[in-house]
Amino acid sequence: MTHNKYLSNFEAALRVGQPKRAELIAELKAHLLELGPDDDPDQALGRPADMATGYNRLYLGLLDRPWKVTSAAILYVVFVAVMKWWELASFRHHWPGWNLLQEDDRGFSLYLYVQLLFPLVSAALLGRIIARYHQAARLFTATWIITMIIGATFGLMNDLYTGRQDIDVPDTNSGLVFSALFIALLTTTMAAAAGFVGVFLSSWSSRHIPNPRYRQHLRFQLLLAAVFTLLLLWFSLSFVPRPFIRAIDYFLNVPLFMLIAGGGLYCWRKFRAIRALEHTSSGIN
Amino acid sequence: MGLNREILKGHSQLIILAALARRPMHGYALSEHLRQRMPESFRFGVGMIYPLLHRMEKDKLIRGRWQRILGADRKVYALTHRGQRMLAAKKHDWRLFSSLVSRMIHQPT
Repeated sequence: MTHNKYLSNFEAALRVGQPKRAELIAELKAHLLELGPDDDPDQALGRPADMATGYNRLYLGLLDRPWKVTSAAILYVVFVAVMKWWELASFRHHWPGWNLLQEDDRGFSLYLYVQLLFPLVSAALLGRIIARYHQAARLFTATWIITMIIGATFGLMNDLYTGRQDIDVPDTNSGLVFSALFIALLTTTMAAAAGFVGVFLSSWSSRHIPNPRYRQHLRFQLLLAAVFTLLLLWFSLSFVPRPFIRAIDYFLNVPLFMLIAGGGLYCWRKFRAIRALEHTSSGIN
Repeated sequence: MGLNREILKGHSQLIILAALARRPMHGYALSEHLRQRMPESFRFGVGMIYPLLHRMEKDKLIRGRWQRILGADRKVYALTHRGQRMLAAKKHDWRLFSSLVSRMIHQPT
């Protein structure tokens, strides 16, 4: 394999964005210059795709391969769809006349669609930004903050909406909004905290594993385990008596905030890595 | 007989830290340094060295700086204070571990 061919294969397999990408390519070019024109870089350096995979795993973490993002998105859709189905079945069981498609439930119906789509769109956007604009630390932070604000506002509005409809307090009671707001804030905080704790625990527990591949696998599995534990928790809570149904409804925001919190933490870690990079790698444009 | 690569991977960080403790080196110089000192059956691929160097840089064990050497830009890696402390700790662990294993496997029956 010629040096140019080796370099182009490496670039094709490398998913890391700029400016780190330019630095990695420059470093490889410098190494290839040291080899003689007759030296086979495949023999000297190993397969270019393997080296690129090592960098992808290091700098893109859980987003190093598209199938991981896709499978996470599919799992999320299945997760929310199952929860929604269970919620509707539970509502119909307790209130036989209740129908989602009634005129006055359009807002709730719209919410269902948005709740399904919002995390997917934000995850896809974050993934693209992380991969393409590796250097734009401020953009990561801004995206994270905007996503958090949208998510929090959205969750709050939903909680107030469902609270106004479903909490067993008369509409004329002025304490209703306060109760709904209090519960919304409490559950939102709890959900965000659960997300942060989940991501922190998965990162903390895998920090001593020397092989990056195993470390990433463990983190991915722990996140999946956290999602399925919440699913089981939600199912088990559905069997408790009617007054607790209200509380169960608020658990629906947990996966949404877990995703947002996870994305935020990931962006923050990228931001710190990029800051470190900006300090160490001067001389490369 | 070749050495199990997983064993080598487990100690690759220690080997690189020890090499960079002698003097700062760029990737190619480091690969040559290791190639000259390690028997063929004991070598790990050069392609593995670079991602490992970047991992260690991310963990602040080493610091890379671009320098112009013989007319070409090279990223030269050197140990940080944290890297020096890590090297000392890993050396200690290794001495303890190797003496223990040696004692166990050479123990007369």
